[in-house]
Amino acid sequence: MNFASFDSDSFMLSPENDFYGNEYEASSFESEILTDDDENTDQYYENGDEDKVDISQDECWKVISSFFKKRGIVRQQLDSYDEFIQNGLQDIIEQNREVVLIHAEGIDNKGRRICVSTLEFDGLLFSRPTITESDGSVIRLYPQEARLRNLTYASPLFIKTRLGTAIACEDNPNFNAICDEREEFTPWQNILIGKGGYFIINGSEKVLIAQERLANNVIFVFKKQPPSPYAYLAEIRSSGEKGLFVRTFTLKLLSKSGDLDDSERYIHATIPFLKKDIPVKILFVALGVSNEQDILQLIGALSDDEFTEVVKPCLGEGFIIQTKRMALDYIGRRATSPGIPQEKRIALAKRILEKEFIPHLGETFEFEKQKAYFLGYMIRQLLLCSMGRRPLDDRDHFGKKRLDLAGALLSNLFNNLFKKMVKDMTILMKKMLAEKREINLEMIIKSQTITNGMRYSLGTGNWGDAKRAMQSKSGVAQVLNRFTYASTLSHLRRCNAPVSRGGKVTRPRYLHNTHWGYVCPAETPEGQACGLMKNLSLMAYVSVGSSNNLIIEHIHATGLLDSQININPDIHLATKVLMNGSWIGITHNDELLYNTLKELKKSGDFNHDISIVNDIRSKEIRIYSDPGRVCRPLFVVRNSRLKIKRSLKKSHNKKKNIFDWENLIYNGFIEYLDAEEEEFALICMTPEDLKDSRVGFAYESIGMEPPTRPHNWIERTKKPTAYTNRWTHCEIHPSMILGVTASLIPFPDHNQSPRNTYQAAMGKQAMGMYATNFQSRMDVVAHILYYPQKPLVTTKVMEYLKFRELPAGHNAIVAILCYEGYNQEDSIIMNQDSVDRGMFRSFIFRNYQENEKRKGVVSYDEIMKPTYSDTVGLRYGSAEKLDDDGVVSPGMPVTEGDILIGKTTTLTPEDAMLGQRGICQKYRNLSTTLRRSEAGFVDHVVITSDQDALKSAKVRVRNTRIPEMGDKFASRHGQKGTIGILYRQEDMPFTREGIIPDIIINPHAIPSRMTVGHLIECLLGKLVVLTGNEGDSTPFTDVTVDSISSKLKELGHNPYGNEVMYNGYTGKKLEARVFIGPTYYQRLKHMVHDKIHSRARGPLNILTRQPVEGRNRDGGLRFGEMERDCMISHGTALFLKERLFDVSDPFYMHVCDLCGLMALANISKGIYECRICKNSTRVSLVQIPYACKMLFQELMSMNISPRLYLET
Amino acid sequence: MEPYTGTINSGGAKPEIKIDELTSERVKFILTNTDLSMANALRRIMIAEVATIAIDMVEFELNTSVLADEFIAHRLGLIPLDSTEAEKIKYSRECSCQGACKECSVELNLHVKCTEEDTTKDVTSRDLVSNDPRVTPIQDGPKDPGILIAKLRKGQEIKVKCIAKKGVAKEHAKWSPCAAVAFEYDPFNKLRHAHYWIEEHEKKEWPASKNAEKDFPPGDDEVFDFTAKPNRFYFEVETIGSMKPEDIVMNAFKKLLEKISSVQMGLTTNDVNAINREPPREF
Repeated sequence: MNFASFDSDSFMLSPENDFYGNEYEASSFESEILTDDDENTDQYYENGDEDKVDISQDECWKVISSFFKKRGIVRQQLDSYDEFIQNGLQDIIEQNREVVLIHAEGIDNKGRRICVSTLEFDGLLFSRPTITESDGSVIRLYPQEARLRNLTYASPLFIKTRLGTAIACEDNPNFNAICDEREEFTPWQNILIGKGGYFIINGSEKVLIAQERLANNVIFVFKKQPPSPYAYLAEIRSSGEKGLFVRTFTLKLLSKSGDLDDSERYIHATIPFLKKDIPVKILFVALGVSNEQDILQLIGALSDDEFTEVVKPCLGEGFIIQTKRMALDYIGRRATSPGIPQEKRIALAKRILEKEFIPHLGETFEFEKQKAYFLGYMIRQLLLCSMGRRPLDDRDHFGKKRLDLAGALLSNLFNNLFKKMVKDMTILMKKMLAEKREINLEMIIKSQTITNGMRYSLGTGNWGDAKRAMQSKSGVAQVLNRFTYASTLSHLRRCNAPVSRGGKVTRPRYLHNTHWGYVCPAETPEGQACGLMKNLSLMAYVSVGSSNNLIIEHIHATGLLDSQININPDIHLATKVLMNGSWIGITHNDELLYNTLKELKKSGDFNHDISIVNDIRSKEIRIYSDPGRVCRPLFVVRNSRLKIKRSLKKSHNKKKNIFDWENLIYNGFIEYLDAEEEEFALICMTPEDLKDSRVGFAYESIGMEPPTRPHNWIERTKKPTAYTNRWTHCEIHPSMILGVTASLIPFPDHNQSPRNTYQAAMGKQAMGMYATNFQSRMDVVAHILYYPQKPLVTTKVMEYLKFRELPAGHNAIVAILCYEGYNQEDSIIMNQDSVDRGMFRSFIFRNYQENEKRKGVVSYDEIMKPTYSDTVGLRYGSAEKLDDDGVVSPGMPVTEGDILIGKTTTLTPEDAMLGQRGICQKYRNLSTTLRRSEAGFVDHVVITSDQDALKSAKVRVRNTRIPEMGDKFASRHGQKGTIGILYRQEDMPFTREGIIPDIIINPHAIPSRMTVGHLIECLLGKLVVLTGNEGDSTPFTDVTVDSISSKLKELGHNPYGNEVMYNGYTGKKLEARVFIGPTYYQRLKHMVHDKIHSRARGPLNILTRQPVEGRNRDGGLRFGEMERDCMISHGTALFLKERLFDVSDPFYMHVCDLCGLMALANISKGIYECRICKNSTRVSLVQIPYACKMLFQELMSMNISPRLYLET
Repeated sequence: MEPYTGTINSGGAKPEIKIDELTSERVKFILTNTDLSMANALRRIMIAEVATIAIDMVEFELNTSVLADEFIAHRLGLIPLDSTEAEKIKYSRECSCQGACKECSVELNLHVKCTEEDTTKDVTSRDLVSNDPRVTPIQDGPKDPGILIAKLRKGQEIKVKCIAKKGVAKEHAKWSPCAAVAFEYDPFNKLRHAHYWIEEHEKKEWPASKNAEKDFPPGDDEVFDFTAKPNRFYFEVETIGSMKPEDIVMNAFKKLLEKISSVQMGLTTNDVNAINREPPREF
């Protein structure tokens, strides 16, 4: 490979091109389009377009469109899963490839000698998703059928298994409970704009939430605060092969305090399985480096006096141990319990050093040398920090974070389950061999272990073994949110940091600088999970990982890497090359190596998601290819020009679509950067800024004052502080930093930041149309707006999120006005006539479901129409609407208490049912009734059977919800409110044109919340409605209030959106002018109908005889402690007694005056007596709460007798 | 204290109406020589109390479309029916019949089925068949495609019976005959009822409406007359089609007169003292 030399000489010194000089060009790697483009200067620059923008905003959006066209919104989920299926699975199988059993030869039952010793797993085979019906037939399964029949959308997985010496191949069906829904055609209706990215487990859709963790194989150096005995800590979480296990190795620098001399600061190492920390010196010796000079050299302290001073004390520690054997014995002693022979101890120490000590460098003894070098490197990092020569590491840096997506999570799970299966199998094999039975593959391989394990974890979200549910991570798999389409998309891009929620640590919750472009700055929940639950930005890409070998080969091919490093003073002076945290060599020409690698990456020789970092300061080139790094695409800038620009000019005569994403990537116009690599990039905010910088730098370099920036777009963004020609990248568009729901906010760049966060949360509760096939779905609850409208004021991103196609809201005419006072404290006034005409009307669909069950031999839950004569516990008249099959028919109006699905269970002869049971009654009622306080029409009925041919019925009930007083609404700016009153239109204020607002919000909602975006949306909405366009409110663009105002003025309106309005009652002008215009409003799912509740009398708890709790049980409202306190302080004792006693659980009880215990009473006969006291004359009647009486009885049951001594 | 004279005009002259424009859709007129309260009462009555006819009950015999029954029923209710003869139909609450009869209701039937393959059949207001020729869904000429009710694919069918009744928009917006009623007085703000907030220049930021052309601009050195009262009102009434715009105004006047006379009746017959009480203050 040849490289062109620096060609700076070929430039003439002129303002136009002098800053293009001094630039390296690796022309041999130039891609197709570039190679035929004449890069050579004069011709290129004579166009004189340096003062023009390289790429227009429209073209930027074309690039973004092609990104979404190619990758969609949920690509990370699919990529990760595909990687697991294609490589991950096979890797796991290969790791557990063989089971070898050492056993004595035996004779099998046929008298033959057998010699079974191995079981080998080989290739994998998948089939399409299928289901085995109860009659044994195997049917192709489609997602929609899986959803409706509560099946698992899964495909069988086969592993070729070889057994014994006979090497007889037997295909063994194994199982895999996973599949994603992609490119699948369903016999019913497919979700038209659905893109999958989730699993279907027992009919419910499950998302795997990405789990955030700290990167493996990265050294972190932290400072410890005084109470800790250590001043500094260097830590590495080293992962073994394929990242399936992690071992932490820690170096600790003792703090100066304590009984040690100030100069003596030892370094101790913590190695897994060692009970005590050991001095590093001993570790070096154990690794075969015993010479002190060598150690100093490894640390890089030899030529540096200050450094040597710092290292010296720790070399003194453990001075007695001089030989490797002694060192290993020392280590072994600390790993085992005493009394184990020395040889074994040493062997153990060796094994620990091989397998448990920084295993990512290698797990055999050959890597001893590398480990010693790495140890030296690590000590160097620790000491550099302690000397203040290197900054401490930031635990929250996003470049040091990894996301475990579906693939990684499943691979962990599968690995555990497969190991478990192999373990169980081994035990069984041993047993069979011991019993000298022939080994039957079908019998020993328990494929159900994997099937059930996967189903358990995906079904419950508890990641790991069912038996250890408490320790495992919970909430990894969640039921896919189907409230609004945006909420579904957002759910599929969520990631979670498993940090304890309770702790008061706030740092991991903060928005970090490095989150820019990777994590949405607005979309995070409030409260406990704030900042821990994150959402990916729109263009964030999560690396899937690729093999190191190819990259290492390429590095070697450059000839720039010295991998045969030896102990010499050089090692820390040259640049270290680290590949995924392992030190693979050094180079003396770091810039050339770095540029070469970059070119290789751009030219597509490597996977494009590899990150190459040239850390000049710490003299390291770090290359990462591991999965889970979050990357984002950026324009590549070369010579202060976008690389894409050069081909743009040429592409006019080419038919090829230059904006095709693949094309952009493979031509190196666009590059993925992760947060680590971004740290060493200089990124320009916009192509316009780049142009300004280019022009400015050109002027400055010839000593001229740069021209003042013309009045152009983005005046809002900061002017560059200095002009430079060192840009390496340029943002595609700054609005891509936002996530799914934040991208639906118009003008978010004008709002106070928490308002965007509130809206990001509320957007998920807005009702609209969550899926185009909602009529064939059976979601538990679903809301559909009658007439969803696409917003007048849109953002560009809505196109990719399909918000225009599946909107959630109405363009309401909103006036900001105090009118009659029914919109105080975040309530809103709504126009009754608009509501009459269908504004914000919605359907609510509620699904009820019932399955048949077989319990034992006799007992059977059956779906049938129960009759009064043979069913216990059936309320009269409730089953009338049922068809003969026991399910209501579609179209039937139903009200509360009506049975929707009749179900009974057989009664055994012993069941007396508390005496309720009649002679001929053989069933007990288990029917599903309509929820309390609800009514509606039966919309849809599905009757199917599950895998075991058990019947199941699903009934969907539909009802219309008309907006009423108390329903909740919100704009897209975190401005929520409930309806305070509905005014008829003649009562509403109106403009001279007769425009009547749909909603009146209170002006007090604006100043303290600073939701300026709300006002601009309204203003733009007004303009747009007058001109008949769609308004663009994408953040960080050139729309200004002035530009809107001037256009409104032209149209004969008040430029600031104000209008004179008239009082609807009197017709008189309102004194104040009113800000009025169309604003997009959302109806939120919280409606009074679902919350309104009151009770006078009602059901009581059987045990305590106190009113039950909860609205859906018609329960009482608790008169709690604080309310009690109030009554006490008011002195209203009688009222208090009424609340707590008369209205709760009053009880009459007879008490013996002599012993104070309960007495017998037969009121009708007038007999009262205490049998213990033989007293039938002195019995008193007391009123006490039933709960109190019960307490007394409970006390009596444990031999404590509470006595009531009564005063008369 | 001066007793209230009971006149509805402010200056003593009789109220007048000048019609500026009259089309099939709208009427523009100027009402003069009356109080603001009267003018606004007229506006409110036009919006809310002019009786029209609209579908009020829908009986579904068959509905295999994708739309829910209540959804279609709601759409049917909002279809404007020709209500020119609304006066001849009784309110069903005032009718002696039980439920609905010829006197107080109109029956409309809708029966559409899509039989063609691969096409969408539109169900429109033109498919509604009325049993009373006076009350039909409005139609603007033979080329008017009608108002869309639903769309059907092959095999889908809707068969419903609708009962239309007379009502007022106070009860439900579907009975309102007007789309919007523009109302303005004092376009130059001479009365200073409104306070203009300005950034730089009042005239530039507060453009006057078209009605200003018909009003009297303030003189250069005109003194603010704080006793002046509005007495020139610009109206524009736009119909939704169920009634001619002029009919809306006329019916509204009738209704207004009815209301006033009932007040007057009440005052003269029952409570003579009432007229000597304090005159109602302006709002």
